[in-house]
Amino acid sequence: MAYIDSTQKYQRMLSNYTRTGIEAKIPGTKQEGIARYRTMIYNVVNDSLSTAYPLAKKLLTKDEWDNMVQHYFSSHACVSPYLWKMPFEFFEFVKENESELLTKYPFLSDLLLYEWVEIEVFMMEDVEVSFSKIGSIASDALVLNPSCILQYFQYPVYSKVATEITSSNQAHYFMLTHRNPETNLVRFMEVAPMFARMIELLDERPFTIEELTNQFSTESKIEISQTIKTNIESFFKKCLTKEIILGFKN
Amino acid sequence: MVGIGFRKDFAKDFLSTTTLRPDFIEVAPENWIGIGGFWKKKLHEALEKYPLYTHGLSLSIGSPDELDFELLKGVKKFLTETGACVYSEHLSYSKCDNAHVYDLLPIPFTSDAVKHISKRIQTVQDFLERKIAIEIVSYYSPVAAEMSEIEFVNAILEEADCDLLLDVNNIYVNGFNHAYNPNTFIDALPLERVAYIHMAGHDQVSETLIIDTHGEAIIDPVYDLFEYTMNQLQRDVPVLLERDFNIPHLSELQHEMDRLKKIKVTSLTKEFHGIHR
Ligand SMILES: [Fe+2]
Repeated sequence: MAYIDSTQKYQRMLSNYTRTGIEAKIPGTKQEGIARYRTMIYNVVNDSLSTAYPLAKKLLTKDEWDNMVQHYFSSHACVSPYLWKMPFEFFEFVKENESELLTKYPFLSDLLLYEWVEIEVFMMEDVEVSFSKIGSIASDALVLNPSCILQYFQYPVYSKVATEITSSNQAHYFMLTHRNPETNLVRFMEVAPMFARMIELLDERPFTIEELTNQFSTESKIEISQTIKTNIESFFKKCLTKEIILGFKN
Repeated sequence: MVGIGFRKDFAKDFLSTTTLRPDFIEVAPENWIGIGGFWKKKLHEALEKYPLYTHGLSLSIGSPDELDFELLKGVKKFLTETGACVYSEHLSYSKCDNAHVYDLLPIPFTSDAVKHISKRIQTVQDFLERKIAIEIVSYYSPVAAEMSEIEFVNAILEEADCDLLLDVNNIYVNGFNHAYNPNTFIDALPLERVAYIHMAGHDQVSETLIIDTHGEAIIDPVYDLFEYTMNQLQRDVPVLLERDFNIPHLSELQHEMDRLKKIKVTSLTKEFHGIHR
């Protein structure tokens, strides 16, 4: 579509200025008004990120936070038309582009991700699944709550205050975040790697505990003892009461 | 009809009490598309009680970028699912060089912008299979203008053949910021195209600048301009009270809506008596 260069050019200059704060000489503008756009837009973005990432903001110094937001908004083109999703782009940006901060705070990207997952699980679309509340935990196939996310972390960002996390805490952590279908509240649960794998399988389709156990045993070449089997069953019983497992497949 | 912008900030209070009694509600589709859980439930509760009007945020109709058909698809689905009466968008741009800025930037008032935008509005109307209402936005600086604001607006309305969302507060704000008479501006608009009216409060930040914050109560001169508009219109057009920030007690919002309704009824009955005399 033909669109004369000067109109486009001035539009680009203005939007670029609101993103970077670097002044541009656009003809026929009033300085006071143009400066307002920059302030308003920066505030929208900063407010949205501050609301999404209160823990990360608290961890960083004011300068570190401000510089990070400025760096992000001026050099990253926000692709989401949905403002509530924009903070996810910030997480991805920080992970790729803030090496200095990530060296100082090695767990920063985990912390951002943890905060983002809570938003995503709270907001995510409802998915209809069919299940029955009546069944046997020992023998029926289990139906996983579709409003959940299993996430891997290197740092225990969900159980420790950020300022107390050190490199000695680095390990493999799996966290299951789910939304209660009745209350719509978001809850977190740390799960052992074995259970993480089983949840992953349940995310594909319903399985019985026996099927899950056999599959895990084959994949990991680990012999599953009677004690472990009892643990598995009590884990899924707990999942059922927490509505991480919604019920049984008929 | 007088409605209210349905905000998450007061959704709970609004739905569980009868303090606020609008005739309809308005939402920005972008704030509700692709959302489930708690907020979806609240939106549905609201939709059971009130007709829905919609006011888009991110379509960026005035952008040099390509139209976002993915977004439009989502909007179309949302409009169908919710049975929305009206879809409106802003005569501005909020995305450029593929970057969203999440606010409304002023378009240069040029003839090539008129051509470009009119065509886009037509494309959007064709895609959505409905007429859309375009809102004249508040702006804080002109940008390389080749024509006056009213020439620009009227040319687009004419060429795109779309409806007009007349935000009376925006006209007041622009009149103040750019030193023109808002009444004269309203007189020069094709009032037969007005499908929807917005009313809101604003914030004067300096001697020469008012910002359209939607964070304060409507001021008297804007009520006066609304009365003037209704007198000129002589038609019952749906009116929305926009309040996005600094939300007061809901009874204060109801009070503002009552006042809008009263002005509207008085303006319309005045003419009614005139005809019968
Ligand atoms: Fe408006």
